[in-house]
Amino acid sequence: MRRTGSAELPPGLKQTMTKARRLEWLTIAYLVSAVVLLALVLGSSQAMKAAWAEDLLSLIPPIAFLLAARFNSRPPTERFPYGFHRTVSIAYLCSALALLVMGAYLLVESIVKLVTAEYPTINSVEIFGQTVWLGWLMLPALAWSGLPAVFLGRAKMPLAEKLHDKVLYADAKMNKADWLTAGAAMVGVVGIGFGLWWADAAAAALISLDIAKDGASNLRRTVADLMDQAPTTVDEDDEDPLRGKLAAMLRDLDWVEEVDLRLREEGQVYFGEALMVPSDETNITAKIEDALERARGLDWRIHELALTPVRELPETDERTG
Amino acid sequence: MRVGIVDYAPWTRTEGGRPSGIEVELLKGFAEELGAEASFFSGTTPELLEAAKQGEVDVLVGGFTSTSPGVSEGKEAGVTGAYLTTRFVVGVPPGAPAFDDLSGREIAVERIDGTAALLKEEGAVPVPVDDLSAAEMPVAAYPWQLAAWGFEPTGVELPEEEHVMAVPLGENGWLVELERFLREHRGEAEELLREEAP
Repeated sequence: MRRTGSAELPPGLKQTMTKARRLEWLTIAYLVSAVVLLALVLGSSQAMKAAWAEDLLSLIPPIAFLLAARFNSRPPTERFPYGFHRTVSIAYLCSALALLVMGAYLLVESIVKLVTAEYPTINSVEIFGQTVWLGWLMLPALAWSGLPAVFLGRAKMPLAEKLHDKVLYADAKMNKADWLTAGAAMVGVVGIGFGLWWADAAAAALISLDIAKDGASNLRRTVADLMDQAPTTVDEDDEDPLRGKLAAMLRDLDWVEEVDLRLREEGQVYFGEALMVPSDETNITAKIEDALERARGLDWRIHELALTPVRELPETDERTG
Repeated sequence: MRVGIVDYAPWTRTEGGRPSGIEVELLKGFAEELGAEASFFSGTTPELLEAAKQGEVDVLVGGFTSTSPGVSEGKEAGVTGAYLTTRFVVGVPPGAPAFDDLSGREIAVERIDGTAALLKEEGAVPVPVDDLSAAEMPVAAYPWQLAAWGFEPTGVELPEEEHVMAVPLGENGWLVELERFLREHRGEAEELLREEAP
């Protein structure tokens, strides 16, 4: 069996990976600046608190990505014979749970504030001898926490698709939607400024809902991945056409009668096995080696494939070859 | 302008039906600036917090600090930023030996309050006395008081106390207005304190 080497990405994608890594470092630096800035003007606004929590939590995906980039391509060991691809999924599961729990907590808190009509009270601060309401300072801080994120998200999205990296994809998607959070919080703060006490808690509820939604959808995806779901495309939950292509390629070999192929995702790459009913058993070892070579040539994501010749396919299987 | 007042000298005094004290003087000045008349209603902190919730008073004073229970949390009323920061130092009577560790020592205080609590946290034993300036044991007081009474400062300082006032929750414009006034009159607050606590 071929053991996973470190040269996992084809040469063309190595550069994309370097770029993605650089963007994720940039994201971390940017998010830290936004978190610090928001903390400075936090006040007692619930919407600000929610926006701040979201920025803090959005630090997890880029960190998970960078950690994964480091551990992912480690060669397998005796103890971990399948390599370390799952580290990404596990890191991602944790971050999805954190998002979901935090979002739910903030949502409940915001609703309680709405129901009990808790009036948000925001102080003023002194800047260059002038008394300025902290609420007005929150607006530029929120703008900084929302707008650059959109550009980072847009830059990362195509890289995620090329690298077939779901963590990067989800991260980019969250960044791209960040202006919504910042915008909602700004509306809430301006609302307080105009005496609409409920605007703050309402905006906070909206933001928490968005955090929880991100958490829930990420959770669904990682759990599905950890359950060895059939490979899907990064952007949608559609089945990856690569599986069909690979199955067709195997079936079309002239010595093959029937094929039953299953694939699963481990991080960016696919593992799997195929049962093949040969029509001609002569030289079967050489034929299988040739088939493996062709399969790997099909796409870099086909990482480890076990091909097994059998007399007939198991019958009660709903998978189609 | 309706002011809820909790008696806590030297910040607020209500004896004889005539309110006085540092915070009362400050708020009279504030009312004047607004072209309003300040009327004072004395009560306990819980009573007045409830009155603030009902919108029956516009400002609440009573020597509150950024750690006063019930007020400082900002759950029952909105709290201003610190308009004055004070700090007690420990001094000894003339001729008595100085020290730099409070633990186990008896320190004279005016009453059992926040200052006494701070002393206890440092391990000292607060002893309430009627007249601090005549105490024959170490006292906790403002630096200028020690100087006036002839006490020697020990160099032991208590944590800073940040003095605040309270307004009804959600009254953001009003809160900012009050904060602006207090910032502009910080010097005055300090002068008043030196007058009230000579």
